[in-house]
Amino acid sequence: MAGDVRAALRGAPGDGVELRWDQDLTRATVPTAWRSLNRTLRTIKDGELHLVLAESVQLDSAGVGLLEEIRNLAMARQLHFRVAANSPAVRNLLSIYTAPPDTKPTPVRTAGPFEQVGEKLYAALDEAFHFLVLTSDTTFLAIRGLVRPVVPWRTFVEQCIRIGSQSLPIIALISFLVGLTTALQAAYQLRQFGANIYIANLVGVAMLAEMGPLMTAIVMAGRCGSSIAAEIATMVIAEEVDALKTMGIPPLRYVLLPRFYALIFTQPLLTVMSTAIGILGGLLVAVLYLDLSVPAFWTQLVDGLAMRDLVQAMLKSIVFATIIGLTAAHVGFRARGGATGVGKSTTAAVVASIFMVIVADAIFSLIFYFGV
Amino acid sequence: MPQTEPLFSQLTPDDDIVAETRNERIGYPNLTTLEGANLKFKRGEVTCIIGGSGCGKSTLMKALIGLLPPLAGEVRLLGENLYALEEDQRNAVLRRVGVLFQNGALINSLSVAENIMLPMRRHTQMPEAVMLATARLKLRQVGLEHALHMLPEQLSGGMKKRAALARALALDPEVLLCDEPSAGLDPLTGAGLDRLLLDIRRIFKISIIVVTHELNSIRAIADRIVMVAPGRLVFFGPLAEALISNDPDLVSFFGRQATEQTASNSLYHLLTEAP
Repeated sequence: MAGDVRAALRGAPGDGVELRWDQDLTRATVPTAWRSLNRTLRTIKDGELHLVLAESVQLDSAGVGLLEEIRNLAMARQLHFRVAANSPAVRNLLSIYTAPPDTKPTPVRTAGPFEQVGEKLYAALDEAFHFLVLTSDTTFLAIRGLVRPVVPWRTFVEQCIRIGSQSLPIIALISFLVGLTTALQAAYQLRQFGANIYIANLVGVAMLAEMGPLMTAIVMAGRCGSSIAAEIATMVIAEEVDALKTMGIPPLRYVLLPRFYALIFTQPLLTVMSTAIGILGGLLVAVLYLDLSVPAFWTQLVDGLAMRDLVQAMLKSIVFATIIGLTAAHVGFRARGGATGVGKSTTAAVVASIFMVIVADAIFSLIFYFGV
Repeated sequence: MPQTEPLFSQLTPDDDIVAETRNERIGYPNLTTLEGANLKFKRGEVTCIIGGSGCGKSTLMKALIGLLPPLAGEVRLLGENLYALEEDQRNAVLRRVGVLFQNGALINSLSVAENIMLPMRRHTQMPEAVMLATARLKLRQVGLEHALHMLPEQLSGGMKKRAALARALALDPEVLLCDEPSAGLDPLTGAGLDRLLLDIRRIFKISIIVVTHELNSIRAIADRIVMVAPGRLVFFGPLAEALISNDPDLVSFFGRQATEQTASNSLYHLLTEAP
C-alpha cells in the first residue's frame, strides 16, 4: 500500500537515524519505497542514515538500484548511508554488485569559442578536401574507364535500367504537370494581348532550357542520389568498403563507377523525354484553351527553339548528373554510426544535391544569358 | 499495487524445467535444421548448445524464444507454448526471459543507459532515477559503467556485447539465452563474463542457455551440452558425459585424440587416399 511503510526511527536527529525496513524492495514495490525513503532522507539534517533490512525482506536488482540511488542522494547532501542485512540471500545479491570506484571522473574540458570556430572551419575544409579528392578520383577513373573498360557491360545495363528506366514514369508525370501549369499560367496573360501563338515559344523554351533539366535532376536526386548514398553508407558501416580496400579493389571503381556511368548516360535521355512531355502538356492547353491548331503550335515551336537551347539542356543534364552522383558518394563514404548514420547520409545526400543542382543552374543561366 | 513476484524461484519438481522441445522440427520451409529433438532445459543449470557453424544453433535458440515457429512438434518456455499465446500473455512470459543476441542488437539511436532502461520502462513503474541507478549497476557488473551515456556506435564489438548482456539482465530474468557471448572478446574479458554468468546463476538460480563454441568457456560453465549437426541432434546430456563420449562429432569438437573412425572420415585422410 502506498505510504504504508512500517519503519521505526530511532535516535535523535543530528547524530544519525536508524531505519528498520521490513518491506520487500523489488520492481513492484520500488515506487512506494522510493517515495518513503526519499521523505525520510529529507528529514535528516546531518549525520547518518542506517537502513536495517529485516530478515524477511526480498531484494532484486531494482531494489539494489534504489539503495544505490539513495546513497547517491545522501552523498550529495554530505550524509552517510549504510545498509545492514542479515538475510544470506540479500547479502549474496549485494555481493555481485561491486561498489563504485572511488576515483573522481576526469572533468571533460569544453572547447572555448575560438576553438569551436576553428573546429567547425577545420571540419568544413576537411569535408571540401574530401569532396575534391573524390571528384578528381572519380573523373579520372570515369575517363580512363572509357578507354579501358572496367565496368562490365551487363552491370552498366542493369544500372541504367534501375536508375534510368525505372525513373521514367515519375519524371513523365511531373514534367507533364509542370508543362501544363506553365502554359495555363501564361495563357491567360497572352490571351489579353492576342498573343496566343507565343504559348509555343514560352513552353518550348521554358521546358527545354530550364524546367526539363531541373525537374529531372530533382527527381533523380531524390530517387537515385538517396539510394546511392544509402547503399554506400550501409557498405561503409558494415565494413564492406574496408574489406574491398584490403582486397586491393578501389571502392570507387566497384561501388560508384557503374552507377555514375548509368546516371550520366541516362540523365540526358530522361531530360529530353521530360522536355517533350512538358511541351505536350503545353500543347494540350494551347489546343483546348487557346484554340490553336496542332500544326500552328508545332511550326511556332520549331521556329522558336534554337540549337543553343538543346546544347544547353544536354550540358546541364550531364553536369547535374555528375553533381548528384558525386554528392551522394561523398555523403555515403563519410557515413558514421549505425542505422542512424545511414538515415542521416541519405537525407544529407538529397538536400545537398538539390541545393547544388540549383546553384549550378543559376551559374548556367548567368553564363548563357549574360556571357559572364 | 502490482502483484509482488517471487524473487527467488521455488524449486519444485513440477516447474524445474524452464524450456523444452517436444519432438520438434525446426528450420525454414525448405531447410530443416533440426528434427525430432526432445530437449529439456532445467532450472539453475547452464546448458551449452554447441556444433559447427551454420548447423542450426542460433535457429534452435530462435525457436526457443518465440521468433521462429517450429515446423512440427512443440516448444515450451517457462511452461508455456509461446506460439499459441495471445500477445499479452506472450509478453508476460518474455519479460521473465533475457536474450543476448549475437551482435548485441542494441538500439543504435538510444544511449547505452536508455537501452538498458528500455525493458524497465516497458514492464515496470520504477522511478526514473532508480531505473538509471539500476542501469548503472548492471553496467558496472559487466565493467562498462563509463559507457552509461555513450551511443552504441561509440562502443567496440566486445563492449556492445557486454552492454547487451546488461540489457538482457535488466529485469533479473529467470532464463537467460546468450548467442555466442564470448565470441570476439579477449580471453580475460571472456573469462570474466563466464564468472559473471556463474555468479548470476548461483544467486538468482536462473537457467542459462548459451550458444557457443569457445571450448574454455564450455568447460568452465556448462552443466549440460546440446550438440547439433545439420538436421539432427548429436548429443544431449551432462558435460562430463560429453567429454568422455566416443561420438565422433563430440570427440573432434573437444579436440581429443581422434579415433580410427574420425580419422577415416577426415578431409586430410580423404585427400591422401585420393588417386
